[in-house]
Amino acid sequence: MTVLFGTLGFRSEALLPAIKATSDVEKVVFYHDNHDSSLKAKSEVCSYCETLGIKAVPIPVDDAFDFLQLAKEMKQDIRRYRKEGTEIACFNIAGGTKLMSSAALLISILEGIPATYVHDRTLQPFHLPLLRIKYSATLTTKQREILRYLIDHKDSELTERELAEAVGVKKATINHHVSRLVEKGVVTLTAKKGDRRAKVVKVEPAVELLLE
Amino acid sequence: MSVRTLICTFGFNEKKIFAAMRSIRYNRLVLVAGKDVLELKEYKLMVALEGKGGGTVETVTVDPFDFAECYNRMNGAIRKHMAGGEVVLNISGGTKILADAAILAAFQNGVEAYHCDETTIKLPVMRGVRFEDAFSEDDVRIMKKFEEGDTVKSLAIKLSGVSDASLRKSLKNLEKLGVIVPVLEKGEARYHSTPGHRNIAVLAERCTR
Repeated sequence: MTVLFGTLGFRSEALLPAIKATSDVEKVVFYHDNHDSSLKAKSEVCSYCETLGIKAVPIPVDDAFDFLQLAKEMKQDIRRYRKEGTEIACFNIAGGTKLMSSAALLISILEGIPATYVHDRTLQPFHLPLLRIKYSATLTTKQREILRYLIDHKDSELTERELAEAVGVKKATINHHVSRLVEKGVVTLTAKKGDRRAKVVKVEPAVELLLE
Repeated sequence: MSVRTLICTFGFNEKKIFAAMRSIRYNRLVLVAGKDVLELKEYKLMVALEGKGGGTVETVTVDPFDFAECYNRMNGAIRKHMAGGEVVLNISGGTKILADAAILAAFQNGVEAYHCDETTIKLPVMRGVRFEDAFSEDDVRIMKKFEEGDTVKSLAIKLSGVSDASLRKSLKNLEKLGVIVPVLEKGEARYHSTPGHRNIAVLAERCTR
């Protein structure tokens, strides 16, 4: 089965040309919010698909500005379809809010899915020059382990010393790894309240998307 | 101390840039915007405001509905300012095409990126991870010589000195990255560029800069 993914905003024209341009699409999975104009666009897409005998799967999103939630949901859906043996033709990212579009772009890069954009004026879809980036491959095993631990404990105020104990390394070793992760912009170090000598290590938001 | 350049996509709403100016520390401001914004009072207001703070505004003009132009100009601006220090990007202003081109350039250049509006959202970019790091020297050599419909054999002839194993490894990598795709034609695998990378030589050129 071939599936096309898409984001949808107020204009069905941002998605329909991508469906038309993709061969043998059997299913269109698209994300939309619950604004009246988006719901109207959703009906138009569903009606177009129904006429052509394509299954439409509209997915309502709670908050079209919640980048992390949108990206997580898209990633999960793509992985589920792939696990079922479905081929994903492309992700058309032209519709929806900028953050919906950015989330779809990031997930296309991470999952290695071709992405298209239907031009606002010409209504012609064009392919984006994406390269699959495996961010986790740029980290050492220990750095990945540290990040995973920090993600699993993101509500805790872990100091470098506590983190070192948790992942089973010496304080000097954790200092080294944390410094590299700070340089990469994926964790921050701040002074602990009441103890300025101790530093709290926090993972930046949405970094979990880059790990797998 | 190194210079920190804030590059912002800009349309008609100066408030989105003010939000970025408030929440992101920077020394130099660069706006990437459509040509017609230069006459807008919102643009002039911003230039004047930055001047009062002792700075200047560098403006890069683009056709905000032309993805390729936005992407190339954004890449150019990022590379230019990365050479002199650190770059931070805000994508909240301008058209969605411009913002998408900016975010793609940010991901591919390992540049910190934000969406600053009523709230500031940091986008997950791993600083310093650049797209060219994904290509080996052999990958770049192949891309430079690549022609549509090439086979392992035809590439081996063009690339004397690259072993068969290295050639196959590179082709596999280029396929994984989404640059080329093998198509079985008359019992032989022929390689073609993917729709997003029709000009592979340009990509190879960008890897060697």
